Amino acid sequence: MTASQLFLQQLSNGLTLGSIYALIALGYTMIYGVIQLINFAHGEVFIVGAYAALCVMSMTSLQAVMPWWLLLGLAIVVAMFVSALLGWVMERLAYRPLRTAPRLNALITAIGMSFFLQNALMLIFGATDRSFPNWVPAVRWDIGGVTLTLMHIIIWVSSALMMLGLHFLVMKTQLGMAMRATSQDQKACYLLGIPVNRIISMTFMIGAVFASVGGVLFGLNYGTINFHDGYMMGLKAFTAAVLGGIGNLPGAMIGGLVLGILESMGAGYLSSQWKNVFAFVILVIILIFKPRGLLGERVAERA
Amino acid sequence: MLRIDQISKRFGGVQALDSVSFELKQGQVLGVIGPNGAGKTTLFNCLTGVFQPEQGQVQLNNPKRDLVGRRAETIVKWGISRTFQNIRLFSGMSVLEHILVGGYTQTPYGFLSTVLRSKNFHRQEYEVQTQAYALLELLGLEHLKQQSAVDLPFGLQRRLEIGRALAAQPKILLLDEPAAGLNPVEKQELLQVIQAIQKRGVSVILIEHDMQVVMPLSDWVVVLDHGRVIAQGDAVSIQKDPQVIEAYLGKASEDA
Amino acid sequence: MTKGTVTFFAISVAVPLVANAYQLDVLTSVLIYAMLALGLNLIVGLAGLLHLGYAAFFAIGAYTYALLNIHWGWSFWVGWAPAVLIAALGSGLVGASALRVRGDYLAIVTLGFGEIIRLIFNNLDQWTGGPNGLLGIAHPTLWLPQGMYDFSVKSLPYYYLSLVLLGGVWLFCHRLSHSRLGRAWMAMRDDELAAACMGIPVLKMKLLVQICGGAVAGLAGAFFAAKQGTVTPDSFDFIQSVMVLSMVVLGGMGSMRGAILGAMLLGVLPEMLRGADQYRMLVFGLSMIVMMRLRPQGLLGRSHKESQLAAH
Repeated sequence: MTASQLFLQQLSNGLTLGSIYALIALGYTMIYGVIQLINFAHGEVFIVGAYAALCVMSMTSLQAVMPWWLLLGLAIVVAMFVSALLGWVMERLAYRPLRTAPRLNALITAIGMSFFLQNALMLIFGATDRSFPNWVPAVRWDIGGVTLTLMHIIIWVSSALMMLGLHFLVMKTQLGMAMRATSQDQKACYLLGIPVNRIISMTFMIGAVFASVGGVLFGLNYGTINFHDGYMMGLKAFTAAVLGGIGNLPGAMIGGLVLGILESMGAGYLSSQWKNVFAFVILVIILIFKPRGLLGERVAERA
Repeated sequence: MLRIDQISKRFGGVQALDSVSFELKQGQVLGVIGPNGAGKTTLFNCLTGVFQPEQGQVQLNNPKRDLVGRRAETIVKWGISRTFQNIRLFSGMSVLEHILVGGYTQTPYGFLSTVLRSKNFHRQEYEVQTQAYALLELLGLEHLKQQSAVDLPFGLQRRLEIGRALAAQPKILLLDEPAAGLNPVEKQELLQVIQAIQKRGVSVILIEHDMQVVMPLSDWVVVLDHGRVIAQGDAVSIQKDPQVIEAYLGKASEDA
Repeated sequence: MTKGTVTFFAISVAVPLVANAYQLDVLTSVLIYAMLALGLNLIVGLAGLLHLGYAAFFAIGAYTYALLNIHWGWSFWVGWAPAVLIAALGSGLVGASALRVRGDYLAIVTLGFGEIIRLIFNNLDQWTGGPNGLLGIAHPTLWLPQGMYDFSVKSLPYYYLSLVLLGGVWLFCHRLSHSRLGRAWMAMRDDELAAACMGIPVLKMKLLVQICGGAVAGLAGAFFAAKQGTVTPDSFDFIQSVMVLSMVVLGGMGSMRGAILGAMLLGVLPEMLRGADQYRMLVFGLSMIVMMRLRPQGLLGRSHKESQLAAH
């Protein structure tokens, strides 16, 4: 493999990983945008989506009556639904009562939530890796020594489409306008009759939907899922959100891609053993030196 | 004792302070008045190291010290302490603890003294506690010493803030609208407290809207408007100054 | 020292009369957690800095002592000191680099540092044994008039040693909290600006509290290594940090007795739910959520006025 082939191969791997980071990072950034909470449990929402899809896909009775792509589609819909429900319940039961409480309380609740979900998943699905059916045909193209798989292309295209959709939703619809308004000034929104609580619920649910799609793509691409994948992927997606500037939607997408590419370059050129260290070092450096992120918009420093 | 010389501070497009100069003399009470947004609190923030002015000098005499560019904690050590317009008490601490925190600069013992409970530690703790009880008595708060400060009624919270600032044994005390939100009885008590402070030889700079508080107390009055000093003088002459009446008193009556 | 403290230590001294070896082992690990909870309470409870990487300094203490013991034969009686110093230094360095980061961003930065430090121990195979860790750390010994006494794998000596160490940590933390330093930490926790305007050097105090907290974790780490005889990186993961944090939160942030109570409850509870070990983490998570909802100040904590804290 030549140097440029290695580079391109790692670039394509990085884009794939980065697309998934971006899908999760959007949720972090949207939720932070409206209520300034780092929803620590968002990584678990992601992996819950993957597990929900796995459950549907493993049902032999459905496998008998449906072609694979229809069942996969159904699995994605169920995953979205389950994650959105989880996002809604989480906000309603755990975070809403704390909205006026000190922010550290909400953060501690979020950590507790993450732990709770992680261990609930472990109890339900076991601590070992679960294999995820790889139904996407293993079509691959060899372009100048670089392998492109159908799976990669599906991930790129579907995450790009979802992000476009989100952009449209936030910029063009009434709901999106209300979300942007809520993130600016909650009190004023109350006074203007915007149903702030419903907007916040919706934000959690939309974030969860994106994460769940990320979860399904993650499972399809890597072939196995584990209950603690949510924690690691969640942290890295959070890093991506911070990298792009938390509260900033295009920032989360770019941050996700940049982190994914940096990480796979690091793994390709340095060593894969150190790739997590690499991601954490980026996280720490950004938070210390550039807490507003690369696109820097929102002032992150709040006590 | 304190000379403020041509200080300016800008926030974006707003000139919050524009070449402000005045002088506080030993033992004086100096009133700073002016309409809302005139830059009064910004002035305090520039004097206490919370903000740094872009231009100008703030000089403390005897010993001579330059305050511009210093951190808040250094300025306290040099003898200037303050209260806040929106009361800023420590929500998890008792009344007594507030006064003890105020005495932070009066207890310079270090880490090792703390851990080893050295003689220094015991002596200084004894002193700061004694001082705290005396201050609580002066302010009439001694029976509330174990109470959580944020449970106090508003008037007493203001008084506790003054006590906390006094515990730093300042030469100059900056009070930011101490009468705001007080009822007439509490205002009278406040007047007495400030007079008692003055008697102890502490100079006071007082930001206040309430003329019935500022005028009887102040030896010297500085009037700010849009960040500029539009007049200064003793209380009587300020009340007659046509510019002041227009800028401040005039506007106040319009608001009402 | 209050009556409660004396009673606690008196009961603890008497416990071995009725407890068997297994129970003593459990209690010893509770006492280690109690030290960690007291140390973290300084940082989180007293100074209000949410720290999510505390286990890293526990690790630094453990690895420092383990390396000193394995390569140079340092005994526990001297080896604990460098473990404490290096853990304090590590904590100070982390603190110094994150001095201007606040609130939940600080939480994430400390989490990041915690993971980096753990991964470094995990990846530096040639020095730390990688994921397999370090083996063969000698057990402490004492020279008594009757001859040498080896702690070996007995339970009783470790129990008493950990009790003595906890006593030391308690004294250290108690003296710090009841001093100008402790008051300064509380003040800056509640309102940084007001604290600075009372003459408190906020940045220095933030650094100091992290150094002190790191030192305590280092001591606990050295003892842990001496007792286990082995150290592996997975004893110091994020879960460990969160476990200690939930002890502090459960007991009541800022309360030393609360920290010990939290360590006892969360340390002993899973043992009482024997056979239900896998529910342990579930219970941790749930207890944090429920606690924040119902009694955010913890079991023994002082209540904070929410409106005041939320205001800035």
